[in-house]
Amino acid sequence: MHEHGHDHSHEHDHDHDGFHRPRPASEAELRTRALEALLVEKGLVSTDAIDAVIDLYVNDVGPQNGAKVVARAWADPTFRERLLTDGSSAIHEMGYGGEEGHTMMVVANTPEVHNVIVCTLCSCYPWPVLGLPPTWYKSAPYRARVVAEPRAVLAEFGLELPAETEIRVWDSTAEVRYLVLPMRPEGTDGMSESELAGIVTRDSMIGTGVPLAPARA
Amino acid sequence: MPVVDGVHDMGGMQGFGPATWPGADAPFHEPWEARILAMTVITGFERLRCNNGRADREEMEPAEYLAAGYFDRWVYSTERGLVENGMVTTAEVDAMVERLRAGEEPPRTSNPAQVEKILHDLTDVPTLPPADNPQFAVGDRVRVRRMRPEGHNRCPRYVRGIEGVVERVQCSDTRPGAGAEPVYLVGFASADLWGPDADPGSVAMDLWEGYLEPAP
Amino acid sequence: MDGVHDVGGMQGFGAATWPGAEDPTHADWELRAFVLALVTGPGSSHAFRHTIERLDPVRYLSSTYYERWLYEAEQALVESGAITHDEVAAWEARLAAGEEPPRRAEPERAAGLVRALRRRRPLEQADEPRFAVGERVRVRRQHPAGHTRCPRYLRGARGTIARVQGLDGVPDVDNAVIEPVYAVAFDSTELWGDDVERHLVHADLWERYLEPDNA
Repeated sequence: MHEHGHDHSHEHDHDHDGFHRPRPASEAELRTRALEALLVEKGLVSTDAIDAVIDLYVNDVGPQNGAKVVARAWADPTFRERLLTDGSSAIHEMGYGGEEGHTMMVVANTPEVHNVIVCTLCSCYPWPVLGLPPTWYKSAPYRARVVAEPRAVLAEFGLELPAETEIRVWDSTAEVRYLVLPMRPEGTDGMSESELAGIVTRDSMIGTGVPLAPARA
Repeated sequence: MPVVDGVHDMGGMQGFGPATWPGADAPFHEPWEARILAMTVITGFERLRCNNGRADREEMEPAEYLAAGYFDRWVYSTERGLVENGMVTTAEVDAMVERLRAGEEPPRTSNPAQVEKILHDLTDVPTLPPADNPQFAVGDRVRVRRMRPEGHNRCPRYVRGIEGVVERVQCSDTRPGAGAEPVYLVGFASADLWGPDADPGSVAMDLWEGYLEPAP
Repeated sequence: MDGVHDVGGMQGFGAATWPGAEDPTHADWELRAFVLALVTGPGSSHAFRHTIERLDPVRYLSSTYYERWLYEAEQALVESGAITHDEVAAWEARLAAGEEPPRRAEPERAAGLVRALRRRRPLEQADEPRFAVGERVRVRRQHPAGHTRCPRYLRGARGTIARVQGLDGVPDVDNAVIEPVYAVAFDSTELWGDDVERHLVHADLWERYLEPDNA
């Protein structure tokens, strides 16, 4: 997403594909622009600091980080063991850490138990390894329903689990952040760590999906 | 008046519709949403406001809380935090809205030191320390206290009064409205939460020691 | 269903009363909406309430009381096929344009409705209730997808049978089953913890909501 240097008071905005069309700005949008202008005018926050934070969470930090953690765990049993017993150290060892991810716990899917993460009270999510949460994760239906009817909710995401698999839901109520370690798919034995990272989806690390099937050789 | 058991405490609630829909995969839908996120994070780390965002959002009028978009609530709490800390006034924000509407170009500034500091602050946060003198141990059966909390809290209503098992002594952290306490990972059987007709499974969550008592 | 209507114990709604809140209605249309819902409604109060409970949560919380009755009246009539939303919209437009609404007098039917509303139907006595006065019970945990009259704030709470009220149709199955209803007394500390001021909460609960408290 690009934020242009100029701001329009007549409430046009640029789409991702460059279209420039009139659209009524919401009250929240106007308020946001006014807050930014005020904070910048008062010298409290600089424009480039805002740009830098956006750049961090849009371009730099994202689920590709978590995918690398998962891939390494699949490839390296010793790392996997460390990841499951002390998620914080193992993840920090790979260079991922910080706000909303300083204290991590990684939970492994097995044929008996499928894990899924939620924050029923707000939207807590492991930013350093997954980036920023999708809208559905932060919205009332998922927050309200997944703790009580996880199987039905996962089915809405297209994930049907065998009846013998129990579902465990992790509600992020304190400052520990959770990451699901999905099961390694069949047919991935010859894959390199970076190829493995390529099949780990964001949703598989939240628990609303599973990794991609490996491409046919 | 501090709001606690408000509509934000949604676990187990019904009536909200489907869990996902086309377009719900993205974190943002409008550029302004990314900007309020960035402003919230920066003003928090720069101590331009107290970090009360969650508590403030929970105090929104219930229908407004539910109707608001996710980042609409951040606009509310970040503005409120800045106003309460004396950094801006509501009148100033109102006036700036009018100034921008009238065509004024907002200022742009550059502050490399602030950029460096925020990027450092965001990536260099220490892991929470281990629990100090925990009352409970792994394997202990605990019960979540019934409560009528008088401030922001992180004990969802759907586990109040329910017994679970301590699975991990997670760490030490400051309980909202109280001091530093052990935090425990507690596991609950789905049938204990939702009744015998529930799909077999479990829910686990991190609960401060102050939310727990030994199971009878 | 565990919808936003189930507000027992919830906070954030503001003051319990305010100037003007003493009156039952504030506009004529509210009384007419009330009566419309009563006379056109599905015979069962359970279906009526459940329709309102199924209102989108934001709409539920931001509507006024009789707006919800009006919603129910229209929704129930549409769901039964008696009218369509478009027909209502068309009439709105006609009235806005100044047309006089029709009037019809059916004195016998009107008298029948009033008689029905006045009819006294006390609950039948429960001959073999499972629980006796003074017995300790616990409210079952559940996650009801349909209508229920067991509020969330009582789930799992222990109380004492204060009275066997009588037999009544179970709301969860729309009167298909008749069961004893009990007035159950709960200590406030059982519901809200030790720090709350002591008071009692009584709730009328159907037998299926309860189990013996074996503790």
